[in-house]
Amino acid sequence: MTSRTICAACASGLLLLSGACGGSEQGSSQESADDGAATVSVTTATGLAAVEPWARPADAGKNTAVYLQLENTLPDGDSLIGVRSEGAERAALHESVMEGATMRMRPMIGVALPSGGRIAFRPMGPHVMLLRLRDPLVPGDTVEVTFDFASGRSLAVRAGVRTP
Amino acid sequence: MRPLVVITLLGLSIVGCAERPWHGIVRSPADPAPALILAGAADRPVTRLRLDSLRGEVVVLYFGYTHCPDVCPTTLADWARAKRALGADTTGIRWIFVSVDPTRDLPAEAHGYARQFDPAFTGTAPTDAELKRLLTDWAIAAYPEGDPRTPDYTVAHPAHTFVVDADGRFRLMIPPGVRADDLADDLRRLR
Repeated sequence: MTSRTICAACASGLLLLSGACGGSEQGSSQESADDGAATVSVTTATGLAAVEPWARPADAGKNTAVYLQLENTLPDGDSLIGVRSEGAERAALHESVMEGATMRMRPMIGVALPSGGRIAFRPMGPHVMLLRLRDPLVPGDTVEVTFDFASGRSLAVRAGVRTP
Repeated sequence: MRPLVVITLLGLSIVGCAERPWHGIVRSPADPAPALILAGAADRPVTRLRLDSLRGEVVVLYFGYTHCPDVCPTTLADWARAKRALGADTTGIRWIFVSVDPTRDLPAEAHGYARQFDPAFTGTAPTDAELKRLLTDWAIAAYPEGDPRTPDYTVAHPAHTFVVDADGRFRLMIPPGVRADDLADDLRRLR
């Protein structure tokens, strides 16, 4: 797999990618509305793009979430079938859902990513869950997560850790 | 004065008197808040909590767990933002995170977790028996999902932030996603 990690400051495509997703935020909290300015890297590989990845700080042994938008610019659709990370004992795709007055999480399996489509992982919605962190994550750190697709493609993303 | 003018003025005065809407869900009637007494046990060094000892202060409450990756930290980060929006004078408001995961969370751990978001926040965790009672008293649900004997179970928990006023009445339920500025606005009115 060829992948490139590009700093925001030098990524000529970043503004276009960021602009493309400007209207898509359905963040249920103010926090998600504040995300725009901060983070920091875009990773691209074979037509897949990760926009504005970031992770929450958390202690070692605890769980945290990674948020970003995944975009598919290829003519063919694909499906996200898994996620992994060396930074945690386990990684999973989860979605926070409110049922009545109760908040639950449920696993996400096989998330479709059609051609030209986008998956938005955001606070209080779909998120990448990192379980039992191997090391503490503090603001300024980064953590790498790799997304696996049904087509066999993978996308490695480095998310900056920050306090929202 | 012509009748139409009188009616118009009357209408404007009624509109002017209408109460500004709250951002949270107003509980009506605002009954006294249920009891919340966490005394702990000998093997659980506690951050003790007696809700009825906090009369005179507005109490902001959340029931979550420290392994919660998404909703709890989003909520507590919003609290921290609301607290900042209230400015330098945040006296009269107590911010309390109560874990509903006694298997993994000790009171001191819950307290340390809450303080990561703001040093003024308090956290604690009940014993199993205390949790059972508080779920009944507050008519709320919290339960592990997945196998609680494994380390990766999650916990379903109440979605809302609860607000108890200075008279001890359970006044507001703040839904997830309410903006921090709006939470601050509601708290400012209650303080």
